[in-house]
Amino acid sequence: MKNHDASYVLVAGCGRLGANIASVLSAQGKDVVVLDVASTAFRKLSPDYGGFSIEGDATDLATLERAGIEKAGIVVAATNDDNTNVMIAQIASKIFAVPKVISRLYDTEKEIVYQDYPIRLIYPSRLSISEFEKLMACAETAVLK
Amino acid sequence: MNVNKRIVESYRIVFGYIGVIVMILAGILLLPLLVLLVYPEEMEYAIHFVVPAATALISGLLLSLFLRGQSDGRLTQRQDAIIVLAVWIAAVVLSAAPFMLSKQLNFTQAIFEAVSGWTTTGLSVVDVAVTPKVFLMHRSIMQFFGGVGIVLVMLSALSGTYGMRLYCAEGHADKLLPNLAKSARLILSIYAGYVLSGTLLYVAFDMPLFDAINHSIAALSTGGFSTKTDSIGAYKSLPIELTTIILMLLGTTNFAAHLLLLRGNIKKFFLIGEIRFMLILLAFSIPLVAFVGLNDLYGNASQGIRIAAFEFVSALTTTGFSTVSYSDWPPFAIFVMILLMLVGGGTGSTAGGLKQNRIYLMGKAFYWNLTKNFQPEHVVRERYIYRPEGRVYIEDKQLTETFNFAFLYMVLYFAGVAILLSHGYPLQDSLFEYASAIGTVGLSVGLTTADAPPLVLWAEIIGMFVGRLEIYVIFVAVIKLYKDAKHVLE
Amino acid sequence: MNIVLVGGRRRVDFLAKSLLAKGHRITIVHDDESFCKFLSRTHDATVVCGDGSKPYILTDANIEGADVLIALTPKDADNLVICELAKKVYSVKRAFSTVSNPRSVEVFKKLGINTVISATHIVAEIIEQMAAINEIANFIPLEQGQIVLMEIMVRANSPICGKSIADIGIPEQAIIGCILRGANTIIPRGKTTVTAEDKLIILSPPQIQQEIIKLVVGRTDI
Repeated sequence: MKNHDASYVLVAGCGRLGANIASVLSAQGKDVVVLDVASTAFRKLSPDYGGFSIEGDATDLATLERAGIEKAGIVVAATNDDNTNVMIAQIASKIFAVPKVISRLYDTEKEIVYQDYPIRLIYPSRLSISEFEKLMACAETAVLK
Repeated sequence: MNVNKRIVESYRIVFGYIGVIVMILAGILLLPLLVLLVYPEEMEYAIHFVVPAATALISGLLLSLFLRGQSDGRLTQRQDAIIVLAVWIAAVVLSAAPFMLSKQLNFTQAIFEAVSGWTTTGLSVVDVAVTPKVFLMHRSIMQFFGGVGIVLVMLSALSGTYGMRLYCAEGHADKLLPNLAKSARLILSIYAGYVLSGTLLYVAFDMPLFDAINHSIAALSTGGFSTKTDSIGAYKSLPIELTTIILMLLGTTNFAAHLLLLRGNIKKFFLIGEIRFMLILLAFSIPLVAFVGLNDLYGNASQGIRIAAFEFVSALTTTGFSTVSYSDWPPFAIFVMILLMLVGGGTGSTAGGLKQNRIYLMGKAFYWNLTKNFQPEHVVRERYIYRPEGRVYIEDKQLTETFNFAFLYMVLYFAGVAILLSHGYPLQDSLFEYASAIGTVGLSVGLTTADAPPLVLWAEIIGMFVGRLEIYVIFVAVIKLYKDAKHVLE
Repeated sequence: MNIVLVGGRRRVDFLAKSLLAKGHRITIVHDDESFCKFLSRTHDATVVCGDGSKPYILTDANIEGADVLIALTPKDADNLVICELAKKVYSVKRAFSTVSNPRSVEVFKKLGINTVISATHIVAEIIEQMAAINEIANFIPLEQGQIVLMEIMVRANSPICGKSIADIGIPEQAIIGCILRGANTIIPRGKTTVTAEDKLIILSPPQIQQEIIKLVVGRTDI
């Protein structure tokens, strides 16, 4: 097994989330490679993004190998399709033994397919709900005052 | 009013960045003083370097104060170009100071020498035979950093948020690694590694150490400043000439291609369109001119080939070392030299000129257009060229940019030639000398001297400067400055 | 058996018909409403409309404890999730999947979905062989192409025409399993003679395929 470099990050999917994560990490001085099926998606990256951008299907082994997944320390599955994220995250975790895998999951019902995998999840829906609750709580205290 | 305030605010970051780089320049100015450890008799000149370095350090420090509390400020579009232009001008002015302070050169001459150094041209108005060693080293160090670019040096030290834009604005085309600071460091270490190996090779072939260091830097930066009046020709040594040829070729090779080479990926290296183009061009032009023009002049074929090979590699790589004088060369040979100087070196290297990649692309585009006429109308064929990163598909936008650049380059070239002609120089000499200046080559037919008319020197200064910074960034910076100034003043 | 089919167009239609004819109980999940209506009218099967990779749709389809699930959607990632849900959540006994990217076969196996078929790969290989050589009437790769079954026509000008099986000198790794002569099926022995218009059924690893074609046809291209 090759060495995984903790500062080598592979971001699959260059949507708003993926592009932002990639730009921020790049500005922090990490090695960043971002993948997307459409080269037009790379426009969302900040003009100061210093990493690579590769056009290709991130569920394809050949594309992942081209992007250097063997040495990646972090893989972020941030495409806008849950199933694609599942596949990318599982490939990264199981086949390439990437130490830290993060995946976005909209549909919390599908969480179960991630069991048995050391994959961390981002749930946009839950995040919005907890944010909403916080705002509600603030509003209530304001009213009480 | 709000817009004005924002424009003024955004320039604080610009000043800040310029300040940081000027502080780095202060360090670069002090580097030649290391020579004094070996030649303490030149200690009297130290003050000429310390004064501008101290000035740079203080002003850089003051300018960098503008960055304070601006961490969330935004660099507006195109201000990257202003930063790049400003730091290059700062580099030139600061590096010219030691020549003036020591009263060796007047203002025009000093600026000329500094521009020639930073742009890795190699045209010179100093007499190297009498110039102190510390100044010779100063010239070489300018070429070393001018070769990779001052912005790149800064990025290797600290990765700012705006690194990528500055990197592009300075004309670096390739990302070697998915990380800017690491790319910059990798480029610097490849470069420094080559300089070191070049020095060792020269020393192995009996060149004195001081000369070896200077020539190795000058060859790899495709600069061409020499410590001898007769340049490399002074050594009359075949091994030294061969070493120089190899170093010049390495210097004109794209850094991303070097990475392929160093990783042992020879096959991919020789697939690169630009590399093939360069090798074919040399393989064709050297024997041609040797047999048509030079063999009679130098007595026999092997001598003709040896001289043609050295001189042509020097011209094409935009280095500017020479082993002979061109005063007795036939016009045909001179003409080929001019063409090679106009073509220039590789993209993403330390060289200048139109760049081989552009010429190669334009040639390909012509061929593609021609073959399109013979194909059915609805055939789709994606056109590509090989670059270090693999196949690159070419879109019309890139072709337009390339043709625009070539047009602009030729316009500036002929404008410069016209200025030289107006001073009464012969056509052939003017064509040669200005191709040498704008291509940052540094070969001379004797027109560039210390007592040349100031206007001629200034024309060459501008040629070297726009040649190194690839024209656009200067236009963009000037237009942006003009627009913003107009906005604020209204 | 209880069989669940998810996604697919022609293939699900065809598969449903053939499985129903054999007396299996079929449930079809598909995300196109009008196609679901068509399926419901054509087949005597439970049809559920919705995205088969969503757990609530699979619950609706009542796939709990089904014997076989076959994922036929065009996207490999969808098929993966469907199979994983079927196995992990609904204890389906066997989950099959088709994939469009041949390299996904390897991925699915490593991720625990063991029965994967790459239709693209198989079809491409068949077409390639049949298009290249007229005499090859059929070509079936087995076990991800580790072994292939070939049906080759023997012409009158073939080098082996009129020879006995023993004299042909067929490579050791290969075997002629059967000779089709008109309506007859002959199990070949050493003395069996090959005649014109015979069809040979040959089983061999792909590495020596070219050698066999050369032996039987006399050339390896058109």
